[in-house]
Amino acid sequence: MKKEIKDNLLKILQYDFPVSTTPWRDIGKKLGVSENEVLEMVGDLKKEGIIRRIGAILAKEKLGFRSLLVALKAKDNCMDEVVTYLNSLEAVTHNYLREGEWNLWFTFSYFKEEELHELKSRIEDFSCVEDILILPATKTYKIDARF
Amino acid sequence: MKNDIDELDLKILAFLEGDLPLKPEPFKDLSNSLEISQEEVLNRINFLMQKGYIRRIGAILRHRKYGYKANAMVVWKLNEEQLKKIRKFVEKKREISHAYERVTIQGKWEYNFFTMIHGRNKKEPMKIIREIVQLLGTQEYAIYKSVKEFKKSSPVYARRLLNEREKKF
Repeated sequence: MKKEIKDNLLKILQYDFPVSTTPWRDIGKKLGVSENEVLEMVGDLKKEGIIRRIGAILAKEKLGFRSLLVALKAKDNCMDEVVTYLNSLEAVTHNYLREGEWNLWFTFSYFKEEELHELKSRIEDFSCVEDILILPATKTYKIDARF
Repeated sequence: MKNDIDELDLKILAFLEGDLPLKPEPFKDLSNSLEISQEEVLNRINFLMQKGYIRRIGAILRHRKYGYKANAMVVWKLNEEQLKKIRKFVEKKREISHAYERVTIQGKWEYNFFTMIHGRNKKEPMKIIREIVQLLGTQEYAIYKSVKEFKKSSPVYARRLLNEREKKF
């Protein structure tokens, strides 16, 4: 795949995706290539792992969800169990080990208060978790992970 | 849950939270299974975009694989004036993907502003940090580099709502 076409394709896919019955054909028209070529290139970008998926990003607040960033001070001795528990939750989409005193950082989304209570009480049960920070956003300045 | 969307809309949203099929008509199977025309599927998608349920449609990249390998969460302790100044800065910087003001917890957590900064090499995020330091004249920040990614997945909000509905009936 030529770099120029690849970069243009990624731009259109991220910034200007056509909502139509035949989006791949429409993208092909913009790039001057066939529908099949677009399908092949997009397939390759997925195989390479550059494209995670093609779809929608929803406004979770409008659907009734609230979301939090949570940080834990967790010691090594039960880190595996904490991570296994958190990763099993659909409500957790990002979970990172980071350098620093607060070392485990994850996002948590919920639409019923019970879900948050459940999370807190499960985390309290892990003996290696020394402290927890629950950090809801009070104002969003930017969400745009397009490159 | 708001009332201006129905179960069909939720099903369409759940479909869109997945990965669009690489077929000439990617909405065809969905329209068949929902027993509505493709035109209606598209009309509903446009409505959901207009109403703000869909923030955007398109490709979501793995930025690490696309060359943005250096990523840092940088947290800042900013006052009102500094927050005003940084708003425009984060808007125009593509390397900053997320920026939020968050609560502080006295004695435990003093940083009220969060940024996710991406770069193609280790120097690039540092350059952005220096620009912010210069712009705001602050030294009160901390860099939380990621050591390991335990999970990074696509959210499934619409499906969670559909599952909840099924439980009720």
